[in-house]
Amino acid sequence: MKSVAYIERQNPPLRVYAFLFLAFLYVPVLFLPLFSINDSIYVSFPLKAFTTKWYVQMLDSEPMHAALLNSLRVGIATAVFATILGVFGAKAVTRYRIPGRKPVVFTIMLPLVIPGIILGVALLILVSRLGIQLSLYTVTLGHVLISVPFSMATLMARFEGFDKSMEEAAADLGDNAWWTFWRVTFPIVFPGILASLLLCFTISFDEFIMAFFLSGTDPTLPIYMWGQLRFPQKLPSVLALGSVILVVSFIVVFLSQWLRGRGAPEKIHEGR
Amino acid sequence: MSGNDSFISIQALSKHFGPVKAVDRIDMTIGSGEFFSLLGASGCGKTTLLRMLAGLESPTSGDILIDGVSMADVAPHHRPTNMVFQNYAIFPHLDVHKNIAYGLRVLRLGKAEADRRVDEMLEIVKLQGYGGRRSNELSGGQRQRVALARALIKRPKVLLLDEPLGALDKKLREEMQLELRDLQQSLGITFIFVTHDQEEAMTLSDRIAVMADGKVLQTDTPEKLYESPMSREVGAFIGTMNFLPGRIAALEPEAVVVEAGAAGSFRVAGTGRGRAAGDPVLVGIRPEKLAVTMERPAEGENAIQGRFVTMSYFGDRSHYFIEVEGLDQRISVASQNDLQNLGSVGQLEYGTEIWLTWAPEAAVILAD
Repeated sequence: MKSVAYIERQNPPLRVYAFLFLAFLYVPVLFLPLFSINDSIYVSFPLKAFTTKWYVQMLDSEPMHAALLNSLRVGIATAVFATILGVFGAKAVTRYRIPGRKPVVFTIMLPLVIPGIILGVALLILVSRLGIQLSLYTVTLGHVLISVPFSMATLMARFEGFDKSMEEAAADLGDNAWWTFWRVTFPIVFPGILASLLLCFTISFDEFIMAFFLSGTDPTLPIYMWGQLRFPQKLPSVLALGSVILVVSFIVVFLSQWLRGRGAPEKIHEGR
Repeated sequence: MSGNDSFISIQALSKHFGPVKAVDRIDMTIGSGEFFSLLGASGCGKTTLLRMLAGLESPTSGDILIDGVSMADVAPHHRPTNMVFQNYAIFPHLDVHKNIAYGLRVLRLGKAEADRRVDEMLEIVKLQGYGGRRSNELSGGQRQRVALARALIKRPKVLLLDEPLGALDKKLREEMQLELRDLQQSLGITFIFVTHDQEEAMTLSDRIAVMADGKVLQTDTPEKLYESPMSREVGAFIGTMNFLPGRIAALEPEAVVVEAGAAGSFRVAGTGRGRAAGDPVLVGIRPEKLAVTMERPAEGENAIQGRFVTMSYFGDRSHYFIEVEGLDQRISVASQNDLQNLGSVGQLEYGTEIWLTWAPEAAVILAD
């Protein structure tokens, strides 16, 4: 038997727990793709036959295309705006000795813990009081609000991970603030920026509550799906759509996490 | 040192961080082509002073003149200085070649000329063939060389070095010290070098400013600092020194007679630094200038009787620690472990009575 360190010994009960935990997390989700290829409009066992017709039906739907396009537009706009805000916010709170840094960070992070329904209602009231028409713009506004904390968290980690003497070195070598940003700061935090873009896009793309309150006549994809649930015969194609979103979201989030870790400033190996 | 002795002139320079006076009204001049070290324990203000020279910190008051030009309103990117950072600050997203070439953007050289300069720098720091490497593929010593090349490529009038050898292991550090010294002499650039390592400062520098609590205690050549420190702090910081407090008993033409209570009375060569008979003085003696004998020395020689306590063995030399009745601090004596000395003192046991002797020239009267 290979000798292992005390702390690395196997722990069978822990394995069982880990297995149950993962099952609890993912088995329900896996029913989505499973029933999306089942040849029945009823979501129930036993499964009938394999089919792809729900996918075909889903892809043929004209309103679905429109909703998808809406979601893409809102998602991209949200990602760009939230990330721009995140870059400057993260740079400010990590780089400068600003008074009240902690309250500022706390305020920015607050939307993470405020229930979406409360934020949604509050924004709806605000927007309608100001006389602004509900549209994809108002949805984007709400999405930016809830995405900024994620963008900040991603980028703050990135900014904290790199030494401010890098920027000082750039200044010392003749670059003003503008050139320093573009030649040093931006390239070093770039993986964080990409990660933030992807993450914010996913958040917006999947978001329902804010969109529910703030969308006008143009539905985003989750709103469209919600609408479809009223018709039982449409359920399987909603499952098909859900499966596709699931896979795409998973890939995007995975990519974003991978980028976040990639090119992180390595530990300096001293000596030698 | 050539020409201009006040190439850099620091005038009543202060930097306060809130209530902390990191740098407290420092005046200093540094000659062109000089290897000048700022030496002190951490927190003494040496790095803050260096960063003010680079323009990375702005002074609370006072001014810095480089080559006669006030740096008060000159941004870091316009100063004739370049810096080697403590952690090297190698850009992780660029390879060695691009790191070194970084500062050339503002010079607007052609690509051929820029490449030629980078190659020249790579040769100077002995990194030929490493141009394509990334910083994570370099060892500590190689990073240090890249940082040096990057700072030197713009041919600054002054190179600022912030503990550049601190992260290297002892052997490599000694190697790099020699290279730094050679480099400085061949380029003729003024080097301002921050370190807390007194040996390093001694090896490298033309002159050293010893700093504590934001102030300069003494600025001198390594030899002067070692042989005649002005104060107890300097004497204790540079090497080891034994201190004997006493009173001036008499002033002779060539020497001062000091009455040092428990340590008896003895002669110190030189003047009393303006003191009169009866004034209190502090006398410093380096450990290697004391000799240990078993026999009572002749009358009139400087001597103290004491008891051997313990010793530290360093290979080439040993330090003996001697307790003298009435002195709070043990006196340390360094002895070369060469052939002559081997066995002369022999096996000392705890409590062995011995005598310490020294020449009048061996001790110095400290200024405070």
